[in-house]
Amino acid sequence: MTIYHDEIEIEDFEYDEDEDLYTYPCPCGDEFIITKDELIQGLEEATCPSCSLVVKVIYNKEMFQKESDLEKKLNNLSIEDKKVCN
Amino acid sequence: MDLYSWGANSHGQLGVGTFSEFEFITLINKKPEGIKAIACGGGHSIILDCSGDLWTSGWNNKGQLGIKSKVDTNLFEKINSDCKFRSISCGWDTSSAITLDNRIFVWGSNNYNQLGYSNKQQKVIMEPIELKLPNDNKALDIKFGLRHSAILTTTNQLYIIGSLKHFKDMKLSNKIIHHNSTEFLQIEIYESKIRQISSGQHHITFLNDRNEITSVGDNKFMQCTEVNLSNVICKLSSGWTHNGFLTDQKELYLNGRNNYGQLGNGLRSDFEKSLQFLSINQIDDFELGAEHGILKSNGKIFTWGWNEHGNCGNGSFKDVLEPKEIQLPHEYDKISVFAGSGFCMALCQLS
Repeated sequence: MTIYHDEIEIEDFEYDEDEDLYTYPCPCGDEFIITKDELIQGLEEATCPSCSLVVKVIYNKEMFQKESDLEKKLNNLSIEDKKVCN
Repeated sequence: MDLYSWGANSHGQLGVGTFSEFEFITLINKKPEGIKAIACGGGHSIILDCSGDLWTSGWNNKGQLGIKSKVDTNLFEKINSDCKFRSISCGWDTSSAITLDNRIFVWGSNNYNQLGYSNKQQKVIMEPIELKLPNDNKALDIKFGLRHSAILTTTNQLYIIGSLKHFKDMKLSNKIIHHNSTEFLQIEIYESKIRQISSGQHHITFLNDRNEITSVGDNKFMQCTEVNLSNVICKLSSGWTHNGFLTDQKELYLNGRNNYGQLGNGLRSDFEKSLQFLSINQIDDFELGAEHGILKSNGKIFTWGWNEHGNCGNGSFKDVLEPKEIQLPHEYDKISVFAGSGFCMALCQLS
């Protein structure tokens, strides 16, 4: 079983829109990372590329998946809107 | 005068010209003449030289080097500024310096308004700018947490700015002052004067003129438990979730998290409920990193705690549960010790 360095709520992570990932500071001076895709898959471990420490991400998996589905639908809608306009 | 650094170096914070970590103490070749103070942050370092100028090295993704760029460096570069400074301080991705006339300058991440700028466009500040305090107060000291800044004024007021999430339910009387569109949380203490402050990840510890220690903020690892010491406390320092208190009897006491041996009591535990006494005599000075510590005693340097990146400088990567002496290449007459998140520095001089 993984020993977590800490348990961190998703709202305390910083979201990087360009990379679609969430980061939180690691005591080594680097950052714990979890991608948006990993969260949608229901994963909950954010890892640090520079060290062995791992934090558990606290978030509502169902809500996260629903929001992501909704986002996809909205994106598809806007694509179809564009098609209509063209 | 020799300046050494060791430990995590993923962003060039050791200032030795590379981005690889060092588990042995390593000499910094490019440094200013005459060093007055050093401050170490999450992944960057600042040197204050004897002429009052600033030099920085390391992580720069939030402009925390203050050199008008966002590119990391691994050698110390001078910051261009017209001011002369008397003290410096570093946070995770923030930096500050106080001038001889007690004006405070800040730079780095302002993502949580921790630099006192509520302008949403200004999340990154790449050069020192003045942080004006309410009522024209001047600054005695500033200590950064992960997302907050604690500022002690020359009139002994304590302000907290930035993310106030962990300071909302504090038992101490407090009020919010709106100044320059920033929320300053002022802790109201009338019966005593605050003398010294330190900041952990999400907590603040302070010492008043009655030798009383108070901590506010996150207490997940008992880092905010009550501290009562009969000997006079001379210095405070905080790691992410632990604190240290040095007394005039040259004894060091620690409290808080202990999962990597941060408290130096030979044990590894989630946290300790009571204050731990460090079994080293004649401690002249100390500083805490995120999860490790460094002290000097009788001309020797000791380190302890988390060591995954060689933070303890003893040639190993195994956590050090009790303070162990590290080998210096020479004997020195005067030593100063400093700690960043996952690294250390030591300034060593012959008289």
